[in-house]
Amino acid sequence: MLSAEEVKRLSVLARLEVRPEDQDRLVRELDRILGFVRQLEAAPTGEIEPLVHPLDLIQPLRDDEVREPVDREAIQKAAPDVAEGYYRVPRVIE
Amino acid sequence: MSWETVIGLEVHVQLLTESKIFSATPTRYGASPNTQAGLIDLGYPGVLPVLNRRAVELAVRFGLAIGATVSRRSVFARKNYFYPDLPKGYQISQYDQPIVQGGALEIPLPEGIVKRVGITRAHLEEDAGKSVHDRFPEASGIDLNRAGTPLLEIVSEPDLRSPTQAVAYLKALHTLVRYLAISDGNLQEGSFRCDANLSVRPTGETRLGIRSEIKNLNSFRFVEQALRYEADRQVQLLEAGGQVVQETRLYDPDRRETRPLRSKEEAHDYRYFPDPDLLPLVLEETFIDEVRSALPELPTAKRERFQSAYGLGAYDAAVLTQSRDLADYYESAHRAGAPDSKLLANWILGEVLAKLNRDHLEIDQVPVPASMLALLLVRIADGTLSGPLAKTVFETLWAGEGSVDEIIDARGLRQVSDTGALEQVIEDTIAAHATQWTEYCAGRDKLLGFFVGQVMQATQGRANPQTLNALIQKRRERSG
Repeated sequence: MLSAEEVKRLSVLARLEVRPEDQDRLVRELDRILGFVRQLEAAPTGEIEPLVHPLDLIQPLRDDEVREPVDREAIQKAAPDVAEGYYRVPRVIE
Repeated sequence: MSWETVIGLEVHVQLLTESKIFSATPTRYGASPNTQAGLIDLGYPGVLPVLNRRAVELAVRFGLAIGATVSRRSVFARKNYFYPDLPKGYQISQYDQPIVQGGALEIPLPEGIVKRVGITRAHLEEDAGKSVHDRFPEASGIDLNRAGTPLLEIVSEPDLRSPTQAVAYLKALHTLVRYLAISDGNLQEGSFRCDANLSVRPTGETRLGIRSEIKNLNSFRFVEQALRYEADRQVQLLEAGGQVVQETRLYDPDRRETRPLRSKEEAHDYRYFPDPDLLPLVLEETFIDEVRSALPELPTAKRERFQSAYGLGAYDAAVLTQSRDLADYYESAHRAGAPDSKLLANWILGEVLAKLNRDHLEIDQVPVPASMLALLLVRIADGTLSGPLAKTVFETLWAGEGSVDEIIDARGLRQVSDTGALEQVIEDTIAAHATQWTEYCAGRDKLLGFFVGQVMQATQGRANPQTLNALIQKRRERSG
């Protein structure tokens, strides 16, 4: 059973704010999802090689060439706050 | 109680590519902010990463050089965390199936001991952007130019037993990545970055103690200082009956101390999973063979060859082979006809390195080409120049003022070995110092130095010292 503490920690990691009145419901729902996962885990996979990609293809490689022009002005139009070429964000110091 | 320090290092090496690891934007350092961050680097919806072949080649080159297993199949994974300089909210990295596994690096320790340090793994990943905190009041600036730059993260086994060994390992690794030309290794520009895991345990204990991880070690000097501080801190804590807490600590070079950054509880939970945007990386044997056949001579092999082929001592060979460029300079001068391999080593390790150091130059910027140094040494061997005169000529060559023979002739530096000319100067000197000459002839041998000095002065140091000594002594025999 998933605990309220674990959900709190997950919400911090996911940067999601959980309102106190939603918490119990969220714990119940997440626990049900984990129940589905437990069902999957019960499937016998001992003989099967893990699948990392659904397509049976391998990674193509590209040559090391600069080919993509960067239009900073156009790109930065989508940003809420830019200054002196930087994206300006609330102060973050770890 | 005596304590043993146990250290493992994680080094991020920036790979020398023109374009990013998953996109075709440039990796050049120092460009105007965000002019090299394109849609893939910024994590726009709907874009797909495509892997750079060169980055793969460079990682394989490293793996082969350390005798590792190069994975025929490796997988890219998403490492999830939130930070403003990580646009996608995850870093593409490798997790349980890295491209390089195992291998070892041999590091030279004092007294000629060589220590084998195991490499756990090396994996490919993309770099994040940079946050700038001093540009705007109350805000941080984000420059995403570095986002997507290819990195090879090289993780060592906890095989290192002191801060000194840790630095020796880093220097050996630094030399190796530059030899292999997989990175420029520029520490100031962040091309070679180090994090350390350190724990202590009572001597004789086989289990590992609780470790702390130390970040922000961006010079060899800081690594040593930080690890010394951290080992002392842990020992003091344990001796006082306390316990080490597993945590991440930051080194503050101004205060010369480490301080907590985040505890185990606050540690990131990266929730790795295979990146669905990237297929498994499969390497053909032919690809690996091609990389193998292009491997350059490695530092250890070169050092041993310098000892056996040129008769150099262990120390000289080690210093000369520290960088491929310096070793090439030595060998070019040798090929250009420098007559004495030991003398050549002395000149490079003495004059050349001292002047590079004085002028803050690297060996690839040396103003005296190897062939010029070779000719200078030929002029010493053929008696044209004495050692001190050669140094004067070298100084002039360094300043870019002509060739060896031009300088010798223009400045009249040619050593005087011509007996007739020297004899005349000796006669003049005897005439000017008759009293001393009488005393010298009477047996005051010490005065030989006085006469040699006088003649040297009269010839502006150009007299060949051996010839001069012999002439003065012969002259006394005739007088006596």
